[in-house]
Amino acid sequence: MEHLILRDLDIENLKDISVYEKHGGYGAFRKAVKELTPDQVTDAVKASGLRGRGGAGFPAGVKWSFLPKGVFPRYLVVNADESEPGTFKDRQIMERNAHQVIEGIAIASYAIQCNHAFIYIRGEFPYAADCLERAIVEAEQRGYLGANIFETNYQLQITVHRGAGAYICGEETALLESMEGKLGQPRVKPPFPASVGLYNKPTVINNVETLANVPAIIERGAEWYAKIGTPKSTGPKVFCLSGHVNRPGNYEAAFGSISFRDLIYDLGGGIRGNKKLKAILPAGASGPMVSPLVNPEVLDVKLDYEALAPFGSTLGSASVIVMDEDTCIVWAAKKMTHFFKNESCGKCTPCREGTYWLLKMLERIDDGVGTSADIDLLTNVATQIQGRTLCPLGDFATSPVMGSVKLFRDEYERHIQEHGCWARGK
Amino acid sequence: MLSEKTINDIKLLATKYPDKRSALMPALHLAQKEIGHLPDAVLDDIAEIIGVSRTEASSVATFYTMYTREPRGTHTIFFCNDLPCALRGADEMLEQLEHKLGCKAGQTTADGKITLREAECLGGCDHAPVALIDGAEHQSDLTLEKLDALVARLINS
Ligand SMILES: Cc1cc2nc3c(=O)[nH]c(=O)nc-3n(C[C@H](O)[C@H](O)[C@H](O)COP(=O)(O)O)c2cc1C
Ligand code: SF4
Repeated sequence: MEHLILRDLDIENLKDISVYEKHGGYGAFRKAVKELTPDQVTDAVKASGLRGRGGAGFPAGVKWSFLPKGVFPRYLVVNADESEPGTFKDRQIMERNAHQVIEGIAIASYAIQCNHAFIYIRGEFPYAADCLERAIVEAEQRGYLGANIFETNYQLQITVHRGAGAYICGEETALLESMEGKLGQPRVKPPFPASVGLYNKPTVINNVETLANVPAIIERGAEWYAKIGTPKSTGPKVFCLSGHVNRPGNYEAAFGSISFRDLIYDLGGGIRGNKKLKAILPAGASGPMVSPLVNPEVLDVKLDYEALAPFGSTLGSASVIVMDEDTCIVWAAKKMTHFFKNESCGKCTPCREGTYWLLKMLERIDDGVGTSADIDLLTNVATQIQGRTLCPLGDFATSPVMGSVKLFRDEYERHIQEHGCWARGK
Repeated sequence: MLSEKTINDIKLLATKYPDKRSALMPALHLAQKEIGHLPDAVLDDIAEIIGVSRTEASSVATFYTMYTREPRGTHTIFFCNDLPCALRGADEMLEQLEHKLGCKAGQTTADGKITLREAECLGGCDHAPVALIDGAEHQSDLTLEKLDALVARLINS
């Protein structure tokens, strides 16, 4: 199948502008600016059904149309913070197909009439940031960026802005605070960024992969795009596969076209050492785990945004972490909770204190000094975090505990009865 | 303390954004690249150019994990041991690395050459375990042999 996003796999040296141009590059941007009004571009993206790939799946065109009329300047901020454990798709796209990201940004900027777009990239991606900067310079030299683009009045400048280490800056309002040189702490919503965003101006925030879909939509048409995937989740998706598989990596597939079985056993080459599959984290650390040992049918559902709801989970940004039969679930929950405890920005008490206590209790159980009351206490503390925090990180932080206790309560109990892990898992 | 060139680069940065405060984080990156860490005197210089208080500059320099207010070793190894790396042996490898360096994560070797830090997911889980060296260079598919070679290279450079 032809790749639409990971096109670097089909075309050698796609990151060079001449190669990108040879394969139609910047044609979609030209078409948008020369032949379509900004509203027509937005309408096409709406009609394509493209949903945000940053985790929440919000329709991109709808988001663009939220900007209040007549208020300028307005900004596009690209979310390249990619810090969810198990997520590494945006990095590959930026490093190997940077021009498609730049072209997507340019088309989106034109659609929302923005003249200065920013890419907020996590500081730990220096090479990807260099690739973007190089692509921007090349695009400027060719006249795709700057003033009078395609001999029109449209002008656009793109700035790469490097973060400095903080998962919470992936949350869109924390990202805006960070862009403004402040601590990365989420803002109270409303007002929403569409009306009060960067520098208090109307702002659209989109994920890297979301924007990389845009050129093909403009070039080949919304109708063509909407036929890929399922009616509710259109287009291709990049699945990040990691953990105990033979071939970890990024795999692109249309929504609704593959199952976990296809992804893990076919594309991913199966479980390392021919072990049995124990559990899958579909959305990195932020969504509850699923297990074929508990729900055998979960392996065969075709994956789209809605598919995992019956199993109490979500696809998020499709960062699929695979754990084999030897993995200690309490240990895994502890690892993820440790991450959230470190990454809580500290602004709200339930998240800041709650993650601390969740970790303490998990350590106690893992160290073999937990009591049977601890399991209920764990879920109790998690329940008290849920719905009581300013941003979704609080809820995310409860997923490791809630998901694992629901599916593997017996394993927690055994840790308590046998005073620790009987088979120190990996 | 900052060289004239860096001061000028920071002044230039401040003109590149609609609000010059946005230049604070890039300025801290530049300063740390030159000095190695971010002492008070450096924060004062930056704060003055950007137009924020030292307290504000200092809280930003403390919030983000890539900045350091204290001196570090000549090189810093950010070693990921989040779940995807840990599923592929990162915990054991980190232990061996600590043993080899004779210091724990969060500490610097006695000769001041290498600071070892635990990192949160570095976005390279398809090539786990992963480490980031000096905030600039990703090392992936790590093995004990690769770590040995890496440490030897850092010590000799
Ligand atoms: C704690 C937290 C971390 C997030 N991290 C990211 C991230 O790294 N990249 C991303 O694109 N979106 C991330 N998001 C989602 C963003 O807030 C936002 O919804 C997204 O960037 C919107 O773009 P999209 O509509 O194109 O997906 C995160 C959200 C939360 C609550
Ligand atoms: S939920 Fe956590 S990360 Fe989000 S604002 Fe509150 S303290 Fe910060």
